[in-house]
This record gives sequence, C-alpha cells and structure tokens, in this order.
Amino acid sequence: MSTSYPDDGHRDCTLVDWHPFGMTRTCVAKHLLHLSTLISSSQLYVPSLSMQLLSTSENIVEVVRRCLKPLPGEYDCRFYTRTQSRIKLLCRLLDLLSHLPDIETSLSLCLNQHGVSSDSKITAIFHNAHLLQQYILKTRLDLESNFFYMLDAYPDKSAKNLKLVMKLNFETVGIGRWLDDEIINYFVTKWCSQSQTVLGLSTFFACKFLFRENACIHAKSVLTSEDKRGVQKWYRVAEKAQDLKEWDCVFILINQNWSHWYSACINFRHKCINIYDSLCDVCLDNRARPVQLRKNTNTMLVLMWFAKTLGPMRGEAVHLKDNSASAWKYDPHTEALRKCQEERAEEEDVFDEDAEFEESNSMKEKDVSSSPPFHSPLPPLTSGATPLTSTVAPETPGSLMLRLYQLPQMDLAATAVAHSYLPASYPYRGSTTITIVDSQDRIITVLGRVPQGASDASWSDTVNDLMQAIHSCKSTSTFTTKESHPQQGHFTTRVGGIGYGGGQITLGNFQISGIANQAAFSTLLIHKGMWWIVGWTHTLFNAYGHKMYMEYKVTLQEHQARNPSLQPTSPNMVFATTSVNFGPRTETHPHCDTGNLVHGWCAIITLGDYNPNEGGHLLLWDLGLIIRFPPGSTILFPSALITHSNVPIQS
Amino acid sequence: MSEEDQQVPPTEEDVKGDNTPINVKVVSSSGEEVFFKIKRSTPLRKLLGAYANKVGKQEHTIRFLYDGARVAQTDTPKSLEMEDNDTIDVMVEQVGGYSP
Repeated sequence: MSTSYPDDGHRDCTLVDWHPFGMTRTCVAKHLLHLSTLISSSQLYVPSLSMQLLSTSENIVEVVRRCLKPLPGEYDCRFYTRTQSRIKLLCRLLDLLSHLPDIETSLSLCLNQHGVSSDSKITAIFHNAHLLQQYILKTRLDLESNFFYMLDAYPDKSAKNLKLVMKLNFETVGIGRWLDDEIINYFVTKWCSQSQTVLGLSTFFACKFLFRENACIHAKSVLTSEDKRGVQKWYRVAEKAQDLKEWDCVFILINQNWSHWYSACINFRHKCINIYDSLCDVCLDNRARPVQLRKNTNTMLVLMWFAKTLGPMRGEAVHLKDNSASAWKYDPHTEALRKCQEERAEEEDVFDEDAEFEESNSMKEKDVSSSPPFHSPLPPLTSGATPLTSTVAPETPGSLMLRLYQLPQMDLAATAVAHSYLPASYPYRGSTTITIVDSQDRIITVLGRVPQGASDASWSDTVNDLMQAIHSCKSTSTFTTKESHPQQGHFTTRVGGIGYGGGQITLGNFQISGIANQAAFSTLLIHKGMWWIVGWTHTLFNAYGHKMYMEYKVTLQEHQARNPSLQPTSPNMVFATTSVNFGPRTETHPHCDTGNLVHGWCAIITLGDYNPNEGGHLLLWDLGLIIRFPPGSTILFPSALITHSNVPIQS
Repeated sequence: MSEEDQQVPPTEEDVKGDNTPINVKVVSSSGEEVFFKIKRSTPLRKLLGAYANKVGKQEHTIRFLYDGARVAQTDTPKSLEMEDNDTIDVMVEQVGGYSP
C-alpha cells in the first residue's frame, strides 16, 4: 500500500558517466542536470560562471566581483536606470540561487540511498554557491541603501529622473510636493502588473465604494446592491487593464481628507486583511480605545464586505460575518473585531445584502437614507407607554433612577404632563442623585446631588467667595459682542480651555483678548471654589459614566502630549473647555451645543442665590423634561444631542 | 434621398454611424448630474474642459472615470466603446504627504 520512495525509486538506478563527475547514478545525474541548467541560466548575468569554476575555484567571490564591475558613484542622468537595472539583475540571480538548497537536499538524499556519504566535487560546488549567494545578497543590499541615500541627498535630480522614468510629465512631481492620485495610480498599476499576483485598484475606488464621503473618513455602514454591481464592474476593468489571469491579493489605496495616503490589502491566499497606516499616532491611539471607537474598525468591516463580494469572482466563498470558525485574520489594531461585528449584526443586518442581490429583485434594495445610523447614542425608546414612570434603583441606595418611555407625541402637552408629574412625585431637591436611563437601562442624564459636605460653613463660604469672584471678574473685564450677546440666549459668557472655536483651524487654547481680561479670568479659574466644584463634577462623571470619563481623560492627555502648549482650565481636568456664564440672570433659548462631543456629556453647575421652585429650571426638550435645578447642584447630560434651554430665575 | 445615399461607397465607419452624437451623463461624487451631447469621435478632453468650466474648477484638478478606468486625454466615446446614456464619474484630485 504505502510507497516508500527511496527504496522503490532507486532500485532501477543505473550508473552513467556524467562529466565532470565521472560515473554516477542516474538519480544523482538528474539533479546534477538540474543544477547545471540553473548555473547556465546564471551565466546570463555572470558569464564566467560554470560548473567547472564552482567545483574548482578557491576564490569564487573574486571571480564574480571581476564580472560585476562597480557602478560609477556620481549621480548623473543615467544613475537611476543604471542602478535599477543592476538591482534587478542581482534580484534575478538571487532568485535562481534560491533553488540551490532544494537541489542540495535532493542530491544528498539520493547519494545516501546509494550508500555514498558525500561527494567532494558536489560539496565544493555547494560551498562555493553559498558563498556566491551571500556575496550577491550583500552587494544588493549595499547598492539599494546607497541608491536610496542618493535619491534623498539630491532631491532635485531625483525629481527630474522620476519624470524621465515615468515618461509622463506629471505636474505634481517635485521637491516638497505632495503625492497626488496620478503618481500613486501610475505606480499601483505598474507594480501590480509586474507582480502578477496583486490586483491594484484605483485610488478613487475607496472613496466611491468604501467610504461615505470623498474625504474617506467615515466608512460606509450600509452597502446596497448598486454598490456591489459597481464594485464588480470596477474589479473587472482593473483585472482587464492589468491583464491578470489569477491573483491572490487586492490592494486598495485610501486618501484621507486630501492629506494622508494609506492602504489596505486583502490577501486571499493567506486569508488576511491588513490596513497599513504609516501614522504611528493612529496605531497607538487605536490601541487605547475600545474597539468600536478605533479609527479602522469600520473600515475593516467594509473591507470584510468587499472580501466577501470578491470571493465568488475567485470561485471561493468567503464568509466573515458571524463566522468565528473562519480562518481569516485581521489587522491587530482591530483584533476583537469579529465579536464586535456580531454584536452589531444583531442590531442591524447591514452587510447581509445577498438575499436581495439579484437583478430581478432590485426593488428590494435598501433605502440608504432611511436606514438607521450605525451608532445610536440614544436608543429608540419604547413607544406608546405611560408618559413617564420611574423606579428606585435598588442597587444604588440613596439615589433615584428615572426610567423614560417615549412620549406618544413630543409636544407641549406631553412636556406639561412631565412637568406636572415630575416635581410632584420626584422633586429634585439636590439632596439625592437621580439618573435618567433609557429602556435598556443606559444612563442618559445624571442629576447630581449637592455634595454631602455642602452644608458645612467652609463649603458655603468658599462657594460664596467664588460667586463674589465671578462678579468681580465680570465687573473688571470687558467682553466682546459675541461674549455679551451669545446666540444661545441672554447672558454674558467667557470660554476657556482647548477647542476649535473662534475660527481656529487647529486645536488650540481659546484666546481672550486683553491682558487684564486674561488675568481676571485666570484668577477666577484657579479659585479654590472652582476647584472644589470641578472636583465634585469629576467624581460624579467618573462614577456614573466611567468609560466616557476615561475617554475624555485619555483624549485630552494625548492632545497635551502631542502639543504641550495646550492648557486645560485646571490641572487634571477632563473637560476640554470651561464656560463661565456670568449672568446676571442666565437665560437660554432652546439649543444644542453643536460644538461638543456628540455622545459626550456636558456638566452644568448652577451657583447663586435664587428660589429653584420659581425659576432656573432646565428644560430637556427631546426628553420632555423640566428639571428643578437647585443652586450648587450639577447636571450631566449630552448637550450636543438634547435640545435644552433654561427658565430665567425670578427677579 | 439622404446624404448617405449620395456617398459612394459608404465607409465602414459611416455605416456604424460613427459621428452620431451620444448623450453622456457626468456624475459628481455628491450625485450631481450634468448631461452632455457629444460626437463619438470627439476627444473626451473637450468634455472635461466643458465640465470644468461649468462647475468652476480647473481642468487639472478633476478626473473622469469610465467604469473605474481613468479617461485618458486622447480617449473618445468610440475608443472606449461608450453607448448612449452612459455615465462618466467625476472625481477630484487627491493629494497626501508630509510637511516637515
């Protein structure tokens, strides 16, 4: 049954005369013939090479060195082509020599079978061949490093040479010029055609099919059958243009926001998808983030869809979704991806379009515009339920949890119901912390209590002192029109910290004009009472939204590490900006703070001496809530999402 | 009766209707469509110029793609075997790099 190759295969071996080795077995002669063919192919590059030379030469490296004369060192018009052709030559030679170990193994196997331990001539040949291989490899590496050094050292000559080589006078090739799509596409086509195994797609592929916008920032979350048809068409065109019969990899170039090039590769042979991004910051930043928030996660999901679409064209089925048994691997930036995808798949069947992908069924195409967004920071609330109910959360003694249900119609009537209902049953007196949760018990808003020690004289004294400081800051400062008449309402405000506001195009500190104004505001920000309040807000934030707190903290730290000139308003601050509303009676129109982090919380703290029953209420319009807001208490809520306003305090 | 009848002998190209104009739709990435009527033998370069002029952009900053392939300067609807009502995608120039 089982064939034992050496015994059976070598029974019929006969002796033949094989020059220059004398009498040898036929099986050995077969491998020697192979070796001799290989060496005669090498003669194309090193003419003096021969079996004779290899078996006898004492100093093979010297012989080859004489053949491969060193290139002239100066950077002239032929430098680029000359060096390139020499590197190519050495690569081909190395390719040929790479077969040597196989031949050597087979030969020694055959010799062993016939009871010959080794042959001195054959040993000499392989010894010399190895020396040759090492020498050529070293020459190639030296040549390449010198080549790249020269290209960098003489950029003007390099640019000229590049234009000559490309035979197309691209306007954008030049010193200090960024690479444009013309150059990138030229080299993608050139190198991919040469490779014979890589299919390169145009730089416009990503922005057309994989991303929602041309800037390639947000990967698509919904892909239609029209996308699939487009992808297939582009794929066929690229395949035809490159004249590829078979390929293993698809190479995709991504231009991010007209400033950064990176790429992705789907390798069907090794079953892996990789995203290659040269920005180290992105990688480090990604590792610190939860999977859903990583830059490449959505891109990876869309690449998985693409791999699945291309699979059938190669005659193989690729199932990556919900398939933990799949042998496919993804970039380490996103290693926990499959799990995350499964979780999402339950919510929304985004990538499974196969069912309706048939020409006849095109009516069923998904309507992109009506599809729900991928991340829904506020989940849909259960509809048609009691306007508002609340439960005391048993696990957090001393605090209240309000469970919200969607009001049938979010109008004034409903708000009135909430209004009349809430203060009567659950007055927010500022002595307990109330969390408002959605139907899945996720905290939307925290109505933070006044800190326990607030009844102490030291707290009230400090806070009173802070109020005085705020008043004096207002009286000693001058304000711009934008500060004294902000869009949000009738009050005077001043913003400190870090952000993009005020027309800044990069992240920077908010500037306050005037030295006296700056000094007054800085004094206010380092006031002891301010620190106490900030500290308490942090405690609440960390306790009720730890993950988000950490996200704020890490993000701010990273920004500061990158740009040490960025200064938050107080040390250990997790919020990027602090706005002080000077009043006198702060009153805002219904608005959303569009500049804030969409899924993030904003903290509002009130100070002052007013009757919270007769004014100062916070209105959360989208939740239909009017909240009593006692002085000294803190409310955390997503100010970019929920339209909010406040009622003026009694005069 | 018609002009073609008078031409003796009609070339092969004429039989195919070489220069009958076709309608070409140019679609931007944001989905805006501009329609052009163009002769089959007219280089698409001219269409690019007309489009750039219409949308107020410089010619070298926009790219025409037909089924994902870049439309070259010398391409004509005939050389690309375009059919009536075919679509050309228009993309804007992409750049990337590093400024020390």
